[in-house]
Amino acid sequence: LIELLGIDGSIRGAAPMTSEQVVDSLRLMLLSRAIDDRLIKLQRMGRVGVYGPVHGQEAAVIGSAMALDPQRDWIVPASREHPAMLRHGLPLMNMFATYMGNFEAAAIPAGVRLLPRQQSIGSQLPHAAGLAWALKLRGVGGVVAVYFGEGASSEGDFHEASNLAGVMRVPLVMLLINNHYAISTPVHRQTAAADLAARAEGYGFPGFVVDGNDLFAVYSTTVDAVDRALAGDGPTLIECRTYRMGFHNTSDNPKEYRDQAELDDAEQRDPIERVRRFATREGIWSAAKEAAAVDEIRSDIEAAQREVEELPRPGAAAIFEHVYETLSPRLQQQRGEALDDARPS
Amino acid sequence: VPFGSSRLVREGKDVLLVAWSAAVHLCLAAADELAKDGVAAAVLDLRTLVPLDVAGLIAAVEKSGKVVVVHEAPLTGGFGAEVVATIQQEAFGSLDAPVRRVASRDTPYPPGSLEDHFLPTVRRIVSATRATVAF
Repeated sequence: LIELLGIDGSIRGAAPMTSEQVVDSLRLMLLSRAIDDRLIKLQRMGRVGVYGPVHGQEAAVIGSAMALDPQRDWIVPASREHPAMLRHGLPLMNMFATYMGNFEAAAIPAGVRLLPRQQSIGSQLPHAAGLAWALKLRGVGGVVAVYFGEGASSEGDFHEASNLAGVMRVPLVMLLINNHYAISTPVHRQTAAADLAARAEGYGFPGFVVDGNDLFAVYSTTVDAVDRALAGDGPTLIECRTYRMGFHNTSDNPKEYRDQAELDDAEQRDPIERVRRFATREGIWSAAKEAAAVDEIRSDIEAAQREVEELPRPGAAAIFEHVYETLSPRLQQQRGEALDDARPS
Repeated sequence: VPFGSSRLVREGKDVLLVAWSAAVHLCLAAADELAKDGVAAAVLDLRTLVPLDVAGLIAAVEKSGKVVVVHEAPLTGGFGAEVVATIQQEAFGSLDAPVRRVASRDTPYPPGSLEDHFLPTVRRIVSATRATVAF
């Protein structure tokens, strides 16, 4: 288990990030938690369909994203990595539009190297292996970072993608976010394997287990994996051992299947608190800086939400867009019918 | 529910609505709506698709000779096409109007706020049924 940053904010050796990177990471972590808070409220008000909070997994998601170059590398997310997507160039407004159901405004802007969120478990992994293979064949440089959970690592897609990535030695960084629960299934009911990173060995590439609540351990292990991929040495699997402190999503009640004691224990290992302690000790963070950051985050969130609320809602015609350049006669007919039906009677 | 056994959920002499699963409830609501105009729509719940209750389907079709098939799956390639093909082969002589289908649009599933433009609605079923009855 790779660990660098202690619960008390102490560090083993030198920090792998510059002070500026630490502050950027901490700000992203605070933003992530503020987004969780806002989107859960909006869901409870009926203004967001469903939301899965990042709460507890911020170091794993943000530490890995900080190791990537948005101008060069690609991110292929699962469903709980929007802080990584924001860091990689997705505007906050587009992220809010995603959750508020305005899918046209949610589009990933051209030039931002992101694939869309993937709700279907594990199916992004073969896409990521293929994307990394394409980067290699085209010789354009860059790596692909793909996120998935421990549940996905039980699925066929994970094994097929790993095998292909290994044999083709593609520039792929596989970020296994082990948050200990696949919705309600605990990891010990998920698999008999003690160590999910060991799965990499079966496909001929290295696997590492890191403390996924340790920003520095996740960051430095991802930096090494990126370097290996850029050098032509193929994929790396990184198991980030973290803990989902919130619910799976707004349709879930974890009190039905896990003990409060487990959550209390996780709170002791809160990934944000240890970065805050480290940064405070280094003199690069303070209560005043945090208050200013929180204010700025609140106003950014307000602005993003307001911008989405002020946009026209997509209408019936929107469901026929974005798949075919030219609609077939049958789809043109269906579109006409849908527009007629949408008119008030 | 026995396999291969459909159920006539509602009797009606003018037209038959054939559905299964969630679409049955839409058809019942549409039948209520149509009854206000004096159109008596029967509703057949196929209940199992494989095996398909061909005898039950054909018996219900023959009563009115006018049929609308409703399902939540997209139109193209939906099981409704199989139902319509079976009807035309086994009950061609009884049909008094072309069989219509009301189904989801041939597009990716949209966000929740646009579902009503995608899925079959009571209004769409009522309108297709009126056109079938008036044929």
